[in-house]
Amino acid sequence: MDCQAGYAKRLLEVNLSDKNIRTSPLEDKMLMKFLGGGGLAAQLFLERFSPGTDPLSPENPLIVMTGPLVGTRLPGTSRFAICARSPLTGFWGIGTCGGNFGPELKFAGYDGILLEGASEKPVYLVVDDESVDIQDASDLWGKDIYDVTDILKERHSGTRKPKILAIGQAGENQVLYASIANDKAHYIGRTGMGAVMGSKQLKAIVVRGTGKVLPALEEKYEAVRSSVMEKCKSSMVAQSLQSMGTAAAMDLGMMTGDVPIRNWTGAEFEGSGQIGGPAMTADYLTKVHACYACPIACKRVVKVDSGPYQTAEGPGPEYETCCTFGSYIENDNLEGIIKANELCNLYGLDTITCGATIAFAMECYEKGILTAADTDGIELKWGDIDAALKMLEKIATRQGIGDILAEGSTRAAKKIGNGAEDLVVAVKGLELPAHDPRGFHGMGLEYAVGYRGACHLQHMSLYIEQGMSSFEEAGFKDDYIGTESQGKAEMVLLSQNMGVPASSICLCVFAYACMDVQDVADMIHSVTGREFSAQDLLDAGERIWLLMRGMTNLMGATGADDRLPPNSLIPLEASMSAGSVPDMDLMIKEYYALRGLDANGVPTMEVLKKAGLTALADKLYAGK
Amino acid sequence: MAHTYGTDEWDKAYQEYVANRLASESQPYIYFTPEWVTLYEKAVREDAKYKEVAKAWEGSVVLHIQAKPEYGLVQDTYLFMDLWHGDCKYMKIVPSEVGKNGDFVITGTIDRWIMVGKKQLDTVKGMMQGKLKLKGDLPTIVRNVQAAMRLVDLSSDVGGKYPDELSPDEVESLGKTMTEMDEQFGMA
Ligand code: SF4
Repeated sequence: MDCQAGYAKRLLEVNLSDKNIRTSPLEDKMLMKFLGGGGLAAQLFLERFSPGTDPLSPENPLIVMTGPLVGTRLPGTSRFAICARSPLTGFWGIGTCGGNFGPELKFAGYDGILLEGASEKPVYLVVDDESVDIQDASDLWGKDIYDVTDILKERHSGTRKPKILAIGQAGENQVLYASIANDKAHYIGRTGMGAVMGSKQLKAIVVRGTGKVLPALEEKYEAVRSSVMEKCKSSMVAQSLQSMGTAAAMDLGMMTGDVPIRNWTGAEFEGSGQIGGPAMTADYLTKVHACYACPIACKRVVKVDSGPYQTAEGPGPEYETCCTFGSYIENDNLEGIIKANELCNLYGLDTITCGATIAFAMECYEKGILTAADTDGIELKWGDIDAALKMLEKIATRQGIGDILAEGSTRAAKKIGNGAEDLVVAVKGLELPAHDPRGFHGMGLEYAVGYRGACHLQHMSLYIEQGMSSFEEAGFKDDYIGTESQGKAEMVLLSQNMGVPASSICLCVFAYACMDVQDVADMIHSVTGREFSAQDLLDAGERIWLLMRGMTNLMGATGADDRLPPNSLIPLEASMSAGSVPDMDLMIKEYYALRGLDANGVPTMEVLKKAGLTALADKLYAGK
Repeated sequence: MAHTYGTDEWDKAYQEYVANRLASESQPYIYFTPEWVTLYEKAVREDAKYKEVAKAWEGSVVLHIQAKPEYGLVQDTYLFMDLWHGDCKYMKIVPSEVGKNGDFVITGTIDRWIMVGKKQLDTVKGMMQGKLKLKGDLPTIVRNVQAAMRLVDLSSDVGGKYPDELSPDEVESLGKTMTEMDEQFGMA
């Protein structure tokens, strides 16, 4: 079925308990208000589900959602979001990724899939245009992501190979930071959506569609497409991503104090030059790869030919992974990082939380909080990638101490005790991504107030504060000093209003970083046919941010959760941040006032009503 | 008739020209003029930190300054730096055809270069934001980003007069100098 004016206006609803399958309409008003992706998923959750639901129970829905631009040939618009209450954090969970699943779902005629209940035995879902079927997955359970993807592609190859979403053994074992993979190459890692999928005994979703996504204003669409394609091709950010992938940020980040070292306690790391983008490009890159219709092609395909870390040709590690399995644990062996990345991909683990949790365990080991007796004899010493790889396997299979570490560092620390809590580097239970707030104070504020916990993707601060994009037309200064806290609350607020819609229209932030806000508004206008200005985009951003923040508040978060962990606030004199630490009190105070959060970190009734979020206001203020 | 670049004759004439300029002009020199380039070359050659961070650097770097007649920059300037493993073999203003073919060419308006000189614009950020354009192998630049940053730091440490600070007479004189260089060395 074709999607007219960007939307299919249909939601596929699948109840895995009673196997009921139906489609329900998505109303125009709701679509334009919440756009798609995370915003739309949050509103659906709010309207129909309880925020108090146990994340791994059948009552927690898993919502796969695309946006209006997905399936067009506009650059960076291949993404989709998967949302649920997070089993890792207990708060609103959202992960996004690119690839080809989102466009294919639109071609099949659905904006999203809402999965409810849980199957009694392993199953997978097959969506082939109008035909939707739940099939037995007993033979697939226990298989890794690469195998299950290959099998399903072959099994369902008709006129055209289908696109696959799958979990690995980590998702089956409900490791709380299990990921979901699209066609082996693109991963929804953050907040443990793979564990929710595993709890439903849903091994995979197979989708094939034959429709098209048709823009409402063809001529305008062509004009804006050619303009943004040109920008994406000529931008240095894009060229850097294309030639080195995201790992280019390793070499550059060492210059600015952005790269966390030794579970965030280290200031210098001599091996950084051996594990970044240039090194990967020179020695292991076999080809580059792109998400659907993206001219940037930031994805790496790599291979380690021989030796103890030999890998098959497959997706290369992103910057974050080079940090979490590199600088976080003081490992300068890139082959070991590529191996860790491959294992995380096969098992289906978030490489950020997994590496960060191992780094946390290494610091526990250094301080004697964990000993070899606790770790089944594995000596968790800094720099030892072999120990990290062994631990990774234990986590994926929940063996020995891996069963504790499979809960993420926050919960693991509670179980370990003896001061382990002080070594956790997470906000709201989500491990910090690899951008150090001591080098970039605004990032610290983003992490602290983020609705899904410490997040580097649901806003544009990373690009703006680091000067990769300037967006002066949107009201930003042309330059920010990373190690200053003054003025950052305003920057962060605007960057969220600007960036949050990207996770709802499902636009890649890298492509966004090559464009202007007006370009994004023009893309929405040309595809949906509705008047949509840059200000409309910022207003939608504010609304959707408040909605997701409110969801996290409904799930129990308060102002006390808006705090950075101790390791990330240790002054590092020898680092490029030269002993600087963010002034969190100042920034949070200013931010709360600007955003309209009360002293408890909850959006005020007034601000919610102004944003048109009455249903959320009613729930947050019920009985008050 | 201009000398032909790449010949001994061109080199000799250029050296003589620079020597005359050094004798006739007083400091502070105007940024990106041949006499200023000699100071910059000396600073790079003598800088221990540059030698250390540029140990792995191989290849020429060209700073391309776009023309702005209001400042006396009547044509584009290409400052060619032949750099090798921490050494600076030479620096000179070269004809555009030569400059465009440098291994790494960084292009910007003079106003952007002035911002770089005054440390109001970080070179890496400038390139990422498209305020300065880079032609050349990005991984090499990224791998040697510290060397690139040091080169830029040295250019501002050398000091000099920025073209936006010139009096009308100086603007006229700079314009004449550039025209003269074009006539002798085929810069355009
Ligand atoms: S820039 Fe990279 S992640 Fe973004 S859409 Fe393109 S290929 Fe995918």
